[in-house]
Amino acid sequence: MTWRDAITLARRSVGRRGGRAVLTVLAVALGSALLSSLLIASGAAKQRVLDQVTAGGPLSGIKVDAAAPTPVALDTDNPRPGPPRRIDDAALQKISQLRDVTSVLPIIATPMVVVPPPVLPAAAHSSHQDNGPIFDSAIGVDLSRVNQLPIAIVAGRLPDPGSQTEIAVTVDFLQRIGVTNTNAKAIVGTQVTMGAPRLFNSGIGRRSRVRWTHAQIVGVVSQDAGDGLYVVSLELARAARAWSTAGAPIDALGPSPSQYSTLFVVAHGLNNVTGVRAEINTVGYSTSAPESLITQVQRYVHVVELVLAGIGLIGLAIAALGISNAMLAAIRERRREIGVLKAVGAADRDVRRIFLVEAGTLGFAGGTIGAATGLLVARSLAAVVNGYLASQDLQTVHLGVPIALLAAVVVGATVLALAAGTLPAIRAARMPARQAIGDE
Amino acid sequence: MLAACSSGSHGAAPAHSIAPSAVRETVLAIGGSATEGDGVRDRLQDAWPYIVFRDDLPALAAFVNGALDDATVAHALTTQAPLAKELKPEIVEIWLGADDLLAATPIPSFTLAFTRLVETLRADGAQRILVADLPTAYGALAAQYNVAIHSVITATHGELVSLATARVTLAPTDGLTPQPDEASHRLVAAAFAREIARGQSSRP
Repeated sequence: MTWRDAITLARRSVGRRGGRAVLTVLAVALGSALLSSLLIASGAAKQRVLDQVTAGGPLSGIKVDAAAPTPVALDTDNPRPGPPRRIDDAALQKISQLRDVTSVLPIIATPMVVVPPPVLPAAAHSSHQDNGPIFDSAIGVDLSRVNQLPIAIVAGRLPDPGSQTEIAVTVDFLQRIGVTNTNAKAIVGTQVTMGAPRLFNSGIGRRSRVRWTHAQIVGVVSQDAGDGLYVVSLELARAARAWSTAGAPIDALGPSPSQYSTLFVVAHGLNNVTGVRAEINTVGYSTSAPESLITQVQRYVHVVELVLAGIGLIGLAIAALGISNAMLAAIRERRREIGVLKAVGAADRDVRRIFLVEAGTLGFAGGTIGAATGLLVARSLAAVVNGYLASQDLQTVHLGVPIALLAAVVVGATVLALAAGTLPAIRAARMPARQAIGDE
Repeated sequence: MLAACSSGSHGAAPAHSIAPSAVRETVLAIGGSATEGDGVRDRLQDAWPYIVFRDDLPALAAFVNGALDDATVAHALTTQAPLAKELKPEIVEIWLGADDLLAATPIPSFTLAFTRLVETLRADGAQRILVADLPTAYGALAAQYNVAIHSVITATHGELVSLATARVTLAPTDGLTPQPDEASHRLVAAAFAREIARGQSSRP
């Protein structure tokens, strides 16, 4: 008997007992849907938590401060930096060449005054808005490699690399001008006046001169690359810093004397973060990285994933028992058919094959339907959760299509069905032809 | 902390759309108390150099207000003119003379210092130098200083922004000498804007 004959006989058998087959497929589908939806939801939750911890940046990101390390710098994720120490191109080069360093991105923080745009009344959460100039820091980053930085887009987009006229503002800026996160889009596309301040000593004391330019807000971001309300191109920050540093020092808010205020180093994997931090420490700079926090979060989330997967697997196991039961019932009903097959020369393995094909078909169909349903359920859940998060002015959850996970659920359901069908198939195969026909 | 930002302001959004990458044009303002914005409630909104920057300069312009209060021409030569060397401005807007008038700077010294100021700015890369004269609101002596200003403009190929007949009103301010009111700032801004536009339209 060929595979084609076995498939034909299995299909005919499923067709003859349509009601039972549908119920069996539904049981497998339910188990698969439960498993896939729980795993998709926990995966999205894990990503959301890690994004919150890393502000959307790589898990193995390390911040290098323009400061010397303290003796206990490596004991905590966020150590207190030591005395100031300048970061220049030579230091950047040296750190880039360390073992297990994937990339090093310079960050320039520079003081910036921004006259915010007039806020649309519908976008404001308060009738009292402060539209006066806001003095804070602009964070200049290499916008062509922003995917390696802890910067997440909330609305709009990031400025073009090298742009002198585009800025992104942070969610903290929105709060300062009285706009809710849900209305972030309202200020995207508006234009602002921004200026780099310079202090100088005149005859009557310290005065300021500001180099003003026009700029367009192209996006709203959540960022942890530096302490500042504005994200701009490295070139814009460099020009602003050059103007500001030519004057007298601007107290604590002024531009750092360091060429780069921070370096963002990406280590080759989370496991290497500690080693890279130690090496940078040896070079002479203080570092911070949420490595302990990330490890703890991953550990806790993994426990949750195991529990949820366990619940899903119990559902699938119950479905597998249903397959086994259905197959055993089918053997009892099909004794005559088995006897005839054996009488006309079918071997044990041929009979076993028919029943395994039938079980596998039910498992595959149930797994496919279940995986698709699980994705739909997870998306529905995400929509409800996102509605709540948005109402609380929190960043929403992004749910992709985890193709590998869905494929694994389909394969898993099929394999489980085959395992559940093995015992009935063996029993059917071992049944003597005379007994099968005689019992009828 | 920042003098230019010390007063409240409304959103000052320019009416231009901005291309992300283009060459900037730098504009430098040189002047005294009025140019710095003394006497108006919100200098970023209401002082004439900021009105010109906001409403009349190209979207890609960078603007620095170098003005200082009580600045005579001689004072501006040492404290404001050096900015041109650093900024290499395409346009310099100058409104000086009021503090020389108050300090009774002799006309020959005034003329000499003003000539040196414009020549220094020119030598440091300023392409267009727009010089405003004094409105009659500053008193009868303004006419004498205006004669000197006009002669400097002619000698140095500057561009005159005529305010002599403009209806500028000086209003008393707390602890300061009377300063142009907000309506006058708008008049001054309009005069500078007209001159800037005239020069740009005559360019090839």
